[in-house]
Amino acid sequence: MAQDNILAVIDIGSAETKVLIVDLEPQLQVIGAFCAKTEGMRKGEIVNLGALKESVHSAIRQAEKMAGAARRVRGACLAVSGALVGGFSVTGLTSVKSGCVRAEDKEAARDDAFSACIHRVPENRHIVQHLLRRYLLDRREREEPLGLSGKELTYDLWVIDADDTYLTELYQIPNRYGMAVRGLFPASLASAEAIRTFAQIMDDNRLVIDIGAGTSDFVLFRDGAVVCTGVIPVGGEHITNDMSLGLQISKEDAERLKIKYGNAYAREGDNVFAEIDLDSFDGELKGFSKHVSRYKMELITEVRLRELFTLISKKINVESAFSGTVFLTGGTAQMEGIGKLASSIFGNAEVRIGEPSLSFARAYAEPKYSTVVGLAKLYRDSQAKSAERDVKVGWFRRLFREIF
Amino acid sequence: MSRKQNHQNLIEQMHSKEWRALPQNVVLSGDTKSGKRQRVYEILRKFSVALLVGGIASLLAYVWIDMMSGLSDEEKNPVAVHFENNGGLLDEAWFRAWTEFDENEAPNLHHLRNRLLAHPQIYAARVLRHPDGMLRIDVLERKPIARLEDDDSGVRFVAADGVVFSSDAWAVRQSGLPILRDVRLAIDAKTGFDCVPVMAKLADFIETARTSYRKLFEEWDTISLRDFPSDERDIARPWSLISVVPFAAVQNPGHAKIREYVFSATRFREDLKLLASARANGTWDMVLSAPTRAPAYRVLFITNRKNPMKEFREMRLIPLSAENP
Repeated sequence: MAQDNILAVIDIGSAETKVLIVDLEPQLQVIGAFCAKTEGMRKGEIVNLGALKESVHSAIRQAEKMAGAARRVRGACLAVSGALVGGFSVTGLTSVKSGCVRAEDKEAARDDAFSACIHRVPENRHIVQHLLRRYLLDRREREEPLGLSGKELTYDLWVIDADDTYLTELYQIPNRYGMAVRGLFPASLASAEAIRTFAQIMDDNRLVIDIGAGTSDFVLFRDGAVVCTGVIPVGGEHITNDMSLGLQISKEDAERLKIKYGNAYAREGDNVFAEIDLDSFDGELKGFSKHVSRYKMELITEVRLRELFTLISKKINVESAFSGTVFLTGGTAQMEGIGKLASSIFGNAEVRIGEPSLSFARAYAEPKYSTVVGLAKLYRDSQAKSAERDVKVGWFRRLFREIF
Repeated sequence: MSRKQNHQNLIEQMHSKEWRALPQNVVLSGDTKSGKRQRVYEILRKFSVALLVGGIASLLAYVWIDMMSGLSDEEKNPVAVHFENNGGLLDEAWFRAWTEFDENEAPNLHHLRNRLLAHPQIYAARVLRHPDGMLRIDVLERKPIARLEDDDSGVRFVAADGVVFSSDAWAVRQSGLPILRDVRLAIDAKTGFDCVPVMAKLADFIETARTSYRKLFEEWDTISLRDFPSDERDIARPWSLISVVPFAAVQNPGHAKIREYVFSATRFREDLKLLASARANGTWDMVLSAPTRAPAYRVLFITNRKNPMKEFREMRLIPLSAENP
């Protein structure tokens, strides 16, 4: 029998699919989890839908078994990421007739922003999420303009949209398993939510970069509000590919090398001549004898990651120094030296490795689980908000609104 | 159009552009290949479990119905009896008479067994009911090794475990058994029957004589337990003796002058061996046939302890007067 309070939270990454079965009531808790290799997805794009469905379904099934809720989960919450996910900013403008901002003025500004948003979103795309960035009253930033004096109120909105084809294909995965998509959130926001710990961090400027296998999602917060989000199609897989090509070794060997000896910051000196004997590496590589230069390997990694961070810094328009904290999360964030590299690019900003620290998912406190844990939290919060909204608007008011 | 209506339209348009507006095609059965396979496995598993449970249930039902029909048939048909005496003398007729068995009534196996064990001749009994309704009786009987002759209760038999019982069948067959005299009967603690105390040692004596010294045994008429203890703990005492009176001269080829043999209750094997060797090497007849000898003798076996390091048993002939033997 289906249970509405149980939800499957699915993060379909290019390398791994993470599934959490969560119980939403009375408190958010993880009752089942499974992590499996993803098939049919490359660099954040679906290349084989059938294989992808099979692999994701298998992971869901295992998680359901672990939760003891086989065939009873009917809702899913997904993360969107990849090149087909975009974001843009729209503004709504209204004149404050009374000279003092009232609720109607705020509503008018928001409506104007929504209207602009509707016109700007292409036919073949749908909105995933829209977030208020800030209010501007006479071009001055205001957190809450209500009651303040001014002439012109601007509603600044950040819209995240995605391609219909991608969304339809994504929906098919849980739909074919008998699950309806109940929640859809950008992976960057989910990761940021998972690693958010203290209130003061929330207020600060922060840049969260989730470096996955195929793509890297980022979100920039300024004074606690989302400024922009984005996806860079560069991830851990690219590093593996580069190593494979640059060192003339197979991809499997390159992946193993990356995990065991990967360093994002190439160290010169004695390390220049250090070599790794692949023949004795893990006792698994047989049949040929090959030595690879450790420095060369680190240099390849550094170049690729440097490119990634540079692209992100360009996207968020940080030319010189970033006055905030940079959080790195995702599987590749575990690489040694990545913090130092990021710090050098973001103007010596403080760089931290973000791990999920939410109480309901203590067992999944690894960077690679950031997105899936954050998704569960975001869904729970959105449910709570909608419930709160329903309670606030009483039945009499709703009836009145219907009539007039 | 009012401002509120504009707002509502805008919200609706916004909703139509959100991800929720995209159609979802939820397959409730979760119809994937692996899902189908999984379901087929589950159905097969459940079906096989149901089949197994059903099979067990029908087997039990069959056994139950068969048993009930067997029991109902019993009420109509008389119960067949198979009596097995394992080489004994009791038969089915005795069983029917002793238990007052009514073949038209369902037998109570427990009562039947208790009734069988209430007869002193029955050592053990097993009463079984076959699925076809037949009653099978297995009994193990006590076999006599000696007799008791009383004036009031006639001839009774003594089994190897000391239990005393009466039996017409054994009376006909085993008239040659030695007669026990001067017996102090007791009640057997296990069975509640009359019994001869410390019978194990006496049975050993009789069996040894009967099997190893057959000729001697055939001359014996009565065994007197006058000096035989009635307590197991007294068996090793020096006065624990078994007195054997042989037949009169006509029936006794050993010698007519012997009135009594007195064996030790514990060392009777040596005594019997001594007696048998004396009879075999001719010294027995030579001594007893001498003209200067007494008319009758008691044969006594004693331990010669002149040399404590080398004691031995010896046989003594104690002369008896003709008037008072």
